[in-house]
Amino acid sequence: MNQRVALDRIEHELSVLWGERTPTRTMTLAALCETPAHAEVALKALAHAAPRHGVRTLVVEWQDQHDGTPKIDAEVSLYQGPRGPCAEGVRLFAVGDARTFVPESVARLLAPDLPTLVWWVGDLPDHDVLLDRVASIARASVAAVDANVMDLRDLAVLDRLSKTARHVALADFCWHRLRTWQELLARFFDLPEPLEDLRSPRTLKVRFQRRARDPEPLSNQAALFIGWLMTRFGLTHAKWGEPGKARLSGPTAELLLEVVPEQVEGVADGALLAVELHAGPGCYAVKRAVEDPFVICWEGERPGVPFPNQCVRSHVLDDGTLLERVLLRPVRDPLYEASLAAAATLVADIAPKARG
Amino acid sequence: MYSKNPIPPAADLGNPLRDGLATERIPAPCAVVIFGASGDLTKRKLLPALYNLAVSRMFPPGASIVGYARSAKSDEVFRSEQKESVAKFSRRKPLDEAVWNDFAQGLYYCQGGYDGPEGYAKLKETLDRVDRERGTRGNRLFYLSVPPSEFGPIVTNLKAAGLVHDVADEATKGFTRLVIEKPFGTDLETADALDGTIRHAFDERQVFRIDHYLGKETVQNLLVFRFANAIFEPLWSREHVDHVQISVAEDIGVEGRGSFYEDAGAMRDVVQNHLLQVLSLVAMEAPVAFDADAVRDEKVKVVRALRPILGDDVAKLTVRGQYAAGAFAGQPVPGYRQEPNVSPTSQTETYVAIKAHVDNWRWGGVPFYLRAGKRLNKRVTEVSLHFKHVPHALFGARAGVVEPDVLSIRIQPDEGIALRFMSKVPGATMTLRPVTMDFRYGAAFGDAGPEAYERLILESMLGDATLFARSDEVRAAWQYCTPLLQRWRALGDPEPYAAGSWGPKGADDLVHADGQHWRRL
Repeated sequence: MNQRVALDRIEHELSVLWGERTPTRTMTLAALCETPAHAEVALKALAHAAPRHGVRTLVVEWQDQHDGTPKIDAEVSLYQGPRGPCAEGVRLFAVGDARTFVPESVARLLAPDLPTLVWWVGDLPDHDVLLDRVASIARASVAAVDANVMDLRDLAVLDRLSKTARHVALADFCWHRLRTWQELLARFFDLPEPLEDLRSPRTLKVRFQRRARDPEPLSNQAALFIGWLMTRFGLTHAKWGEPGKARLSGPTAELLLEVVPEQVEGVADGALLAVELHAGPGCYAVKRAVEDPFVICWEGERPGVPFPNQCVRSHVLDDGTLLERVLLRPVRDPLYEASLAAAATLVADIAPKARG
Repeated sequence: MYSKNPIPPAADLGNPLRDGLATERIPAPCAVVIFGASGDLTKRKLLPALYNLAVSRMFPPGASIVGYARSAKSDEVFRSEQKESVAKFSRRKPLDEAVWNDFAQGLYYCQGGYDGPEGYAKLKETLDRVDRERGTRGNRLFYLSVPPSEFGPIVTNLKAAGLVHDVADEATKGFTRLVIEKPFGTDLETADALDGTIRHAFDERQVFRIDHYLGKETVQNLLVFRFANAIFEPLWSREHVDHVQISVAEDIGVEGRGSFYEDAGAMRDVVQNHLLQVLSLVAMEAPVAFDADAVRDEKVKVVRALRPILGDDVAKLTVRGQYAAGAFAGQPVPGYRQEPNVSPTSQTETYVAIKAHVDNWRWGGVPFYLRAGKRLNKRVTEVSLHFKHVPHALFGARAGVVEPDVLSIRIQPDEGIALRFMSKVPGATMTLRPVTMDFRYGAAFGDAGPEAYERLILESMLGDATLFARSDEVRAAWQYCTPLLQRWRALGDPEPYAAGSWGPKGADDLVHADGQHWRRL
């Protein structure tokens, strides 16, 4: 256990830890954790991501205690890379009402003039001014979230946040998990004949891993993927008919959507299992291999165009790996925001009603 | 309502599903034909690099590899051999069977000689089959992993066999590209002859000359450092820079390549290519765009601006060395002349130092001290800009010597950038001392980027020649180096230096004569 230090001693303690070495800082990441369990999640992810980017990390957790003086104190440490210390870690403990001091405390610890990323660990709150205040103090900041651990209705919350929080750009782990699927589907249409087929999409079938507890009609990850395709096809409306089927329409195109929840052993809740797009005379599929669900295969059929099979390995993407990706380009992603908006539209009629 | 982005009406606007994705550039499916498929480079570098591209999802589906060599073997044997090599030499371990199995379906082998037309007719048949089976659409990338003596016969026969499509026909017949490895000739005359042979069959836009130094992340970062930051470029000239040093130091000897090195030497092996490439990136003007022609236009101007070193100046401004027996890492090591396949009276240089000048507006009067050598004290490639002294010693002699500032860019190993500047030592007296502000890529960006071959093969598949040497660059480099090589032949033995040292005394004298010293690396 590291020794607790007062807030105004943090910079000094860090410089003592660095000794004669030159500190490395490329950005600050503030992880806001409502519970010690969330803090453990954050610490584990940061142990992976921070050394790879030279990030100063601030893990903030709070404890409700009404019997003591509100205070925030800290522990400081250095992350170790293969060549020695490579990044700074600060853990802040806010007790009781000191939670309201968190934004100012975070502000004084930001690495000057470098980007800041705010990560709200766990389920995003419907209303909590803390996130907005921290984001505002950090100025241009990115909030890392994970739509996959949220309910379907939270897509609308995220969409609202992305539109209203001027200082916050969302970086969604769930979106980053879709990268392989998007790239594999996109590469069919690098070829001229399939590209023509995009003018006449017909059906889209999406299989996803059903959540074992409280299964929902669609997972957030699948919704985001479909939302992405809606932006590509200019589809702006979704009309659900019989269960799992919807008609997606827009000014220039229409697409019949079928979503199928399934359960495949070893696959995370909500993850995509297969995507099959029929467009023009072609059928374009990306699916998990039967024998190994972490191998994702590319299979296409279209008259006159050979599609050699291609498989890629899809690794289990834990928070640390996803955070590392977010840190690579911590900027606003218009494609994500458009896809999120489309996904929120898609699920508006099937998501459970808002809490409370 | 989110922004609408429907499919554009014109088919040639590109793939709308790629818009905004992290990977926006994927090569078109093509057949990569490797001449010299039985060779060491294919096993150690090329196939592992291609496999790594497949693992990282940059290898387009349908892209195929056709190994071409003299020895007879089936597709299956070729696949099996390459699997073994990839498992051993790929940076991604262990081999992913699922990825490999699909990747291996695109591996073909064609047996044939380099001289006669028979092998090329078979190759054409194989490539037609690959087009049908794999959808490669006539796109071919010919990679010549063979000695330069084979370049001529191969390109001539490719042309004769109808395997080279004109650039103008790319849209209908598919692209044809040629990738060749250095050495691009052994002097100006042979380089011109080689270029003439290649240009007889290929347009310059189809030729990709690999200098693997240009595939290194930190070499590319030289451009970013200079042209994505506003504060350095105003200092980057004769107004503020006293001199520049570029060092390419290796700690290894010839490592069993004695017969190759006897003909090459440090000048042909490193200076004419790697070192002058780095020099051109350091000294070039800002290109008008980050594209192949704009960048290479500026680079070639630098090499053309190098002041020729002729006649007696060769002995004054250059130093040749050859390592003698010495010690490295606490172990005795032999001298160059004791290495296998090296003549006991060899005059091949294993070390070169040059005082060069780039005669242009920006660099007039600024010496560029260049050095490259084998069996030196450690392996380091570094560029350093040594700034001018302050104009007036404000703090007096008692404050200590005011050292000029030095900006150093470490290319390998421990890639990074450091700035040495003066600082006050804390205390009541005014005492000055140099300190270093150090930035290390390894600390800031822990993940190593792709290997140079991965990057360069990908760029050649994409048809982006920015990171490849252009014909006029190569020619300009030979124009500079050839007179030195010719003069050295008349100067007798190179100056010996002990293995494990920092090179011959003459190299120190070269810079001491100007009141400078080599930077301690």
